[in-house]
Amino acid sequence: MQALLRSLPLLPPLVVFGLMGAGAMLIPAGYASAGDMPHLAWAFVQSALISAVVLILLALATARRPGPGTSRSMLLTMAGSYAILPIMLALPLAMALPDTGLFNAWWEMVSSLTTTGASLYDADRLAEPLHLWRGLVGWMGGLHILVAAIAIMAPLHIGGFEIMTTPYRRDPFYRLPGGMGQQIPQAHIAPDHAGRGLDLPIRRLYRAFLAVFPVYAGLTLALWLLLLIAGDPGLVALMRALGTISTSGIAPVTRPVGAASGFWGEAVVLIFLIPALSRRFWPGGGELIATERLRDDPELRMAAGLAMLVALILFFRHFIAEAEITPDQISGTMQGPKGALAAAWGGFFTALSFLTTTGWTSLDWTHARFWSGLTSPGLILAGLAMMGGGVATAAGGVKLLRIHALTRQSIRELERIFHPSSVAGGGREARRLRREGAYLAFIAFALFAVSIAVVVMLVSIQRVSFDSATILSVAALSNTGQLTGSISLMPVFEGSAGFAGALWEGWAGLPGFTKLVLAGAMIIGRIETLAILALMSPDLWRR
Amino acid sequence: MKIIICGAGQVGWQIARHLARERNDITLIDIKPELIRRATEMLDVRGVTGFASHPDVLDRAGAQDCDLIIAATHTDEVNMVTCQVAHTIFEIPRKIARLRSEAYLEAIWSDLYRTEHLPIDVVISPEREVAHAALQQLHAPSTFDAQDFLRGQAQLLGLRLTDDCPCLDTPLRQLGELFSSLRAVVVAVRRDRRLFVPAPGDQLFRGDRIHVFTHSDDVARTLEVFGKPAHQPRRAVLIGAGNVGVQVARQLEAERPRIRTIMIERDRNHAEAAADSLKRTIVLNGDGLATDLLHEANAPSADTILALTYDDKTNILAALRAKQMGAGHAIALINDPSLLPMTARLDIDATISPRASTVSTILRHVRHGRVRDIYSVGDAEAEVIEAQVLPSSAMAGTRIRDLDLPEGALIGMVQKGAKVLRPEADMRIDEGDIVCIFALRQDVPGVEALLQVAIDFF
Repeated sequence: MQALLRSLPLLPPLVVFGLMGAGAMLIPAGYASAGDMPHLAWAFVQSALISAVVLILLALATARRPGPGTSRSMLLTMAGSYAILPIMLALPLAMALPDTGLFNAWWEMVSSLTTTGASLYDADRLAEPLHLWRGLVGWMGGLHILVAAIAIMAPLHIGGFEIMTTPYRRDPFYRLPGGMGQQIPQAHIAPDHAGRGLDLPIRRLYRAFLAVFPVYAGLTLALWLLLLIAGDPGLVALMRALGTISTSGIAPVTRPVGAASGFWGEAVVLIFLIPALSRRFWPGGGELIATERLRDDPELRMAAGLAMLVALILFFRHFIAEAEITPDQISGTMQGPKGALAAAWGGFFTALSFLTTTGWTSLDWTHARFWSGLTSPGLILAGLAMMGGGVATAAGGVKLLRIHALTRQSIRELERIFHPSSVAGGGREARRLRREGAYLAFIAFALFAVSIAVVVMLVSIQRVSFDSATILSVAALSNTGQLTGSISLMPVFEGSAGFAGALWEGWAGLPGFTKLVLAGAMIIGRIETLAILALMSPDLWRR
Repeated sequence: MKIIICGAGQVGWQIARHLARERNDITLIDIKPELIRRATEMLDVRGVTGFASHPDVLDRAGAQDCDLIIAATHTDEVNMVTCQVAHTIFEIPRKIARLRSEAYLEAIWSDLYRTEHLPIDVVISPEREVAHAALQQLHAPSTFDAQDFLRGQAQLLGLRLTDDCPCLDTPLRQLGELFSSLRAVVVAVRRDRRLFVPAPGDQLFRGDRIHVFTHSDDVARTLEVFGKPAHQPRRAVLIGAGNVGVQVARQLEAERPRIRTIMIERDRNHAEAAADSLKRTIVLNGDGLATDLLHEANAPSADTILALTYDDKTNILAALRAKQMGAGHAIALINDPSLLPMTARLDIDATISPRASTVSTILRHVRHGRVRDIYSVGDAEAEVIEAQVLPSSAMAGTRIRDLDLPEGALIGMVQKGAKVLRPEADMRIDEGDIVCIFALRQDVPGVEALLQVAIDFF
């Protein structure tokens, strides 16, 4: 492992990411040539070649130059890779769809890479290799955030790590007054081959990548196989697998998950959504494991509770409320206990899928909506998407651990109303989570809310109705592009994404400025506002 | 009997005081010269200054021909090593060690204290015993004293008689006739500070503090007869989250899920540690003597308040204050036996004294005959001895009316086979029976003589 790490080139991370992206273009190229679409294959190969040439020149110019020294500048790299890399990734899309323009193609790639999964294009009018490319980019985006979380965000104590790191420098003992003074760390005097430089940020990235990639790819392959067995056609199964593991939710069809594979397909997808709920399923990030036992994990419990709650609300609403549209008015919907179960399942699956910001819907979701009689249950999904999945996973949103910290803290405050001087238990970890953790979680939550407000403001400057602006902003900031599909929006026709554009879906018709704002929102949502603020701290630009 | 006691702290001191009174040959070892000086001045003991586990110190204390060593220093490890040294070098036959750490006391490790492993015959843990006593007080809330005998089949209850008691001014003989099926015997009465064993013609008066032996099944009825309705507490307030407090709270959580417990602890770190180890108990951080904190803990509506801090004065004051605020029942932990008579005059319903239970455990191993259990009553004024009747003892085969019991002694309960019976005048004590005898201090040797086997037994 050490030898492998040392053999990897010391290149700027952006160049490395770019080379990986260029290499990945060959996959859809192969698919296109196998599917007898030579012009598409050529577009991919051509873009791969152009990118490779430029990147190799860059690599030669920057090789052996020690990468950016600080983790904070790595953060800048990370933000840059979400904004700049998509230009390169957009090349094949722009070539294949000449009337869409590089800007729209870039937007589409930003949306994919940030695992938002919002699309400007009508699924039926986009060629299969292009769908595959979107899915692959989303998949790489998920991998990127999983790696960056432990390689870049953990050392900086941002991106959710701030909640679990103690302000006492992880010192389990109180320093005795008059004891040993501040220890001065000894400078490295060993030569490079003795391991010096292994803590360079780029090396840390490589190390995290080598740890995460096998698990990530393995899970994807397993899901692909299981979905094939369940009955999904090849490309759909692969893209469902890519979209589930990366929580991008990019699919070549707009139909629900179980459309071809039925209940079992949905059940398999549901299981593979769980890794997006907690970092404990991924290598690295051990400091985030709040409890020893799996079943005590706060994030998993929270997620299960929320999904159950949604399922129960949808299930029981049927018996309480007078439905505006009764199920029997819709032909072909189920009745009786079978219908009730289907409604609960549809609610549960869809809730969990939106909680992980994947955004798939269940086959039974439409039924669940009618069963419950709620006119717009999509708003529940928007709320779930804002809560988001696990800290340091591919999911977006505010993150469950933060919600958990805030919940614990509010329960504690309620207790304190009755017993102002009470002391709560739970151990050191829980105490820290309730105090400093909740404080930092509140900051993150407040920043998220402020981001929503700012983005809504910027979006509604244009001729976009307020409701639509809100949903678009939430979808972009929580990286759940599919939200627009489950909430009916007032479409805008100010802009266009060319022939393949899906004007009625909400994104394609937006004016250019709004698209730019929303793309920014996706990037901010992906690396979190707190991290952006860390970028703005004076240490970074003051040399 | 020649006894070495290591550690002249709270526990060691009390044991020494008690055993010295019984004309044992006591040597006290402590590292602090002033403690040893005080002990030799105040008690009838020999003193050695030094580190208890050092062989030369033990040798100076006369470990060569010693019968029993009691290691009761503050450090568990020193106590363990002392027993090991006493066993290996001096071959002292009986070794008692005081261990306070929960980790050493856990049942899993009880295999540890075998002769071939760590030669400790008896482990005493004052904290654990105090916690046990506190829980017993909670189980019988209207008593000032409660103790199990005959493996939990009989209980000794201490009751303070008030105007509510329906059997005031009645001769005890009549009481037995009125409630003939009630298996309860009044074994002692404390009137105006004097403790005596009542004769059948004696009457009970208001303000008497009596000790009653009762069958465990008849506890509720007995309490009723003496005007103490048995009602179970619902809200308990514990003051002090030390070893004792946490243990009581933990057992309450395990055994009495219906009791709502609130705990008050002054030290923030202790409070946090207590809160971590407890699930349902609410832990408050603050001074248990402060009125606002007691209000916050809902002390005015609490059924029972237990003051279990290390400081006697805090316990007394906190119990009094809570009682004044309207708490139902106040129990205070009192280490210093000289304070006990004082608390009888105060509005404190019951006291727990760590000495009584610890000393009882040790006495069991000092006494002759088949003594199974000993409980020391009051300020060591009397003892309850639970013993098996040996074949050749003076008791075997005798009717109770013919028994030559000293004046200050009374049989409380008799266990024949599996049955626990109230002693009757013409009941015959057979060998193998287990008797519980209440005896005033001056009559303990007489009772012992009765229980001891005749010389020809050997």
